[in-house]
Amino acid sequence: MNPFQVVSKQIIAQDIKRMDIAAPEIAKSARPGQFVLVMVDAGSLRLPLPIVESNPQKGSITIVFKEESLSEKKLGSLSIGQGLYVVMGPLGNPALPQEVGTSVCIGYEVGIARIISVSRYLHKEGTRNFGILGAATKRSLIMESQMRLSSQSIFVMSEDGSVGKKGFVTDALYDVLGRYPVDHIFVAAPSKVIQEVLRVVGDPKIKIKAVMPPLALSGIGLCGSDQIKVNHAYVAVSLDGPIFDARDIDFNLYDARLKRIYG
Amino acid sequence: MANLRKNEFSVQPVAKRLKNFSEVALGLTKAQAMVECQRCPQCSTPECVQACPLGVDIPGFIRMIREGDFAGALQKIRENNSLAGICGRTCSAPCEIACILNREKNPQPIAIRSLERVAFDHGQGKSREILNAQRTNKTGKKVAIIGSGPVGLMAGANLLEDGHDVVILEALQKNGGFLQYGIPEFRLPKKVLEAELAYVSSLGVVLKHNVIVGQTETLVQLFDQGFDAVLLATGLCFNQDLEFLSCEAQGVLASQEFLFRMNFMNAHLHPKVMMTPGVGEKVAIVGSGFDAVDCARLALRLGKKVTLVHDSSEEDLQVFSVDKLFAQQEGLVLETFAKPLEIVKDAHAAVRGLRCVRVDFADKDGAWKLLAVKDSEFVVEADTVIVSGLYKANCLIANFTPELKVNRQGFLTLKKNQRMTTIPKVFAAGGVAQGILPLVEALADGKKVAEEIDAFLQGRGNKK
Ligand SMILES: Cc1cc2nc3c(=O)[nH]c(=O)nc-3n(C[C@H](O)[C@H](O)[C@H](O)COP(=O)(O)OP(=O)(O)OC[C@H]3O[C@@H](n4cnc5c(N)ncnc54)[C@H](O)[C@@H]3O)c2cc1C
Ligand code: SF4
Repeated sequence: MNPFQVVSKQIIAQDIKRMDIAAPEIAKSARPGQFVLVMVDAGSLRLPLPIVESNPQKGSITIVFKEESLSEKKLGSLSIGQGLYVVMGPLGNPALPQEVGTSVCIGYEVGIARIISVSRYLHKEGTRNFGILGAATKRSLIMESQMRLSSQSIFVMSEDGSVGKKGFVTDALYDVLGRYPVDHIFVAAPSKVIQEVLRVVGDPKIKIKAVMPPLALSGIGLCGSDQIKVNHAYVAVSLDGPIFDARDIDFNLYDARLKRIYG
Repeated sequence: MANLRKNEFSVQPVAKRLKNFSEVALGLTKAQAMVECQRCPQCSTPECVQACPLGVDIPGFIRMIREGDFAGALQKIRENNSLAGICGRTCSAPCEIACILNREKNPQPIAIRSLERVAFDHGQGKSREILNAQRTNKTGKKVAIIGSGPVGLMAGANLLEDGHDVVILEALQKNGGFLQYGIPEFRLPKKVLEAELAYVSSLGVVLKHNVIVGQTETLVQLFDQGFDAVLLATGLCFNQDLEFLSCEAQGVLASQEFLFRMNFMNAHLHPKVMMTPGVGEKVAIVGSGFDAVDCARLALRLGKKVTLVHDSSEEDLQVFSVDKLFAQQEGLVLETFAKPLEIVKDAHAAVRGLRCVRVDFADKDGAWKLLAVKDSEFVVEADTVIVSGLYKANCLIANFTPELKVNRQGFLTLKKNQRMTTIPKVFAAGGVAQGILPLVEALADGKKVAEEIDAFLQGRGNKK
């Protein structure tokens, strides 16, 4: 039988599911920003998914994923008590700042799942942390309450106005930047949205970190499938990431790689 | 053309094997093996044994096969080499080069490697009881081995025989390292690997998987769990080659990625499995090693048109001559003396070809060198380029363990004339310490590190 059992499962938005999975070793050692590689069975892809939460006492980790590819749909179709073939992790080597005065965490749709552990970390470190959540529409917004718990205040933006304010995450960011002296911005969103964020932030003193969707095949650097360019040098997302200085990322190459591996 | 000893190879016919992924060389039958053994002169100081890095008692096991005792022969081999079935297929067989029958006018060395394979194929399953009885007294010491590649398995089996408890921790979901994800089924069937793994675990080695040391468990945690020594056998990983992969083209990949997709994720079964092979219809492969030729032969089996671009002569390919022959029979186009210059892409960054230039030996400042031939550029048409030979030591653990030092060549730093790293009680061997090695030399390194760890645990110090 497969060792990694589904402990709980919840639909949290349209096509987005949240699962708790028994993985005691990983739960013990996971750090904020890390991820796991998941295989439902021997025939499915190795899906890199963010560790949203880890619970060492219960010996479980929480993952959140959008059901797009066949492998993700298969994962979503598992019921409680069923097991996963592989849960490998924790992966990545995210460097998080120790002292941050004021920070903003931006998450867009399923990207919110990648930002939440960072937001929680900053909040715990005593940072004045603001959360900005964005989605095209209400049905793809997730984890609003969890974000609220780890932020001084949050801003919810939807493109069609069906939830929160009508507009883009950058509109909210513009507001926050006008009102507070922000030191750090963390963003987990599609490349386009990150590039918009970069455009809005003029001040080069503000650090902008992107929490990228990991590209990984082996997860331990065997195949070189997840090499991207950051600051003109090659790095492996699964070894050195998935958090990088957003200003340094070569997004064209990143998107090309993403398409090649999972497209 | 390769020197094929007539009775050695019964092979799958080309047309058939291009439609499957199963083993090409079918091995000797029992009867053929017994006949081949008759040729062995049973030298009093056998040079083959001296040439084998593992010191296998070659005349000894040959005598047993000659008498039809295959289980005994396997047993004899296993005294020095726990992975007979793997070596019987993928060893570079320096023993055969040293064989005195290789020196006559018409060199016909004994087919030692094939005989080793026969011993494994026909002698398995019958020698276990003997082995279990052999177990030495337990020392009560525990060794953790990181990485279940050939080096980890070899060291594990040897340490166990020395009486220590051994646990092998592997990051991936299956054990075997490169044997599992790197070498294709047609050269090393998974069935054989599984049998070898079963053998190693039947000895008492505990094989665990899905454990990334450095991440899931740290070295400190391992020592806290009571391990007395740790062996890092993490092998090789990907090495960025800026010249090539820096080109932001779709359709450029490293050989390891293609091998991983095919051998580890069974991409040849797509769409039954979700992983795709990740290559187009016309594949150009850059390189000259095992990985290059293995990728080529996998792609040929997928029905692709494959060209291998290599900047020296055909003889300089770093593979067994029979594998080269097999590849050519299977339709591989070899572009020798061709140096790749750049990847040609279209406006959408898709690969269109590989621009190369002819090279030839010429006199440069008194030295014989391979130099570009003027006006000889040409383009190999391709929609996929696979770049091979991009390896470096897998020092991932050092990222999380600052005390573990890596030297300038990128290998783990070892103490002088030893295999202990910069952390006491932590040893390293194989790819991670020495870079890419022929399998049998990697195995020998695994054996030596086991001796060193044993001496250390027994308080005997280093023998040297
Ligand atoms: C394509 C190819 C074909 C080859 N064919 C031949 C051949 O036919 N004949 C021959 O003589 N030689 C051959 N070789 C060379 C030979 O295979 C290698 O020298 C040998 O595999 C090295 O073994 P290793 O045990 O050091 O490493 P590996 O086989 O690479 O094993 C290392 C293992 O460690 C695991 N690992 C890594 N990091 C961690 C971690 N942090 N925690 C836990 N586990 C970890 C990896 O997942 C892997 O399973 C070939 C090499 C290549 C590249
Ligand atoms: S391990 Fe290799 S070198 Fe040694 S006897 Fe076997 S084939 Fe020959």
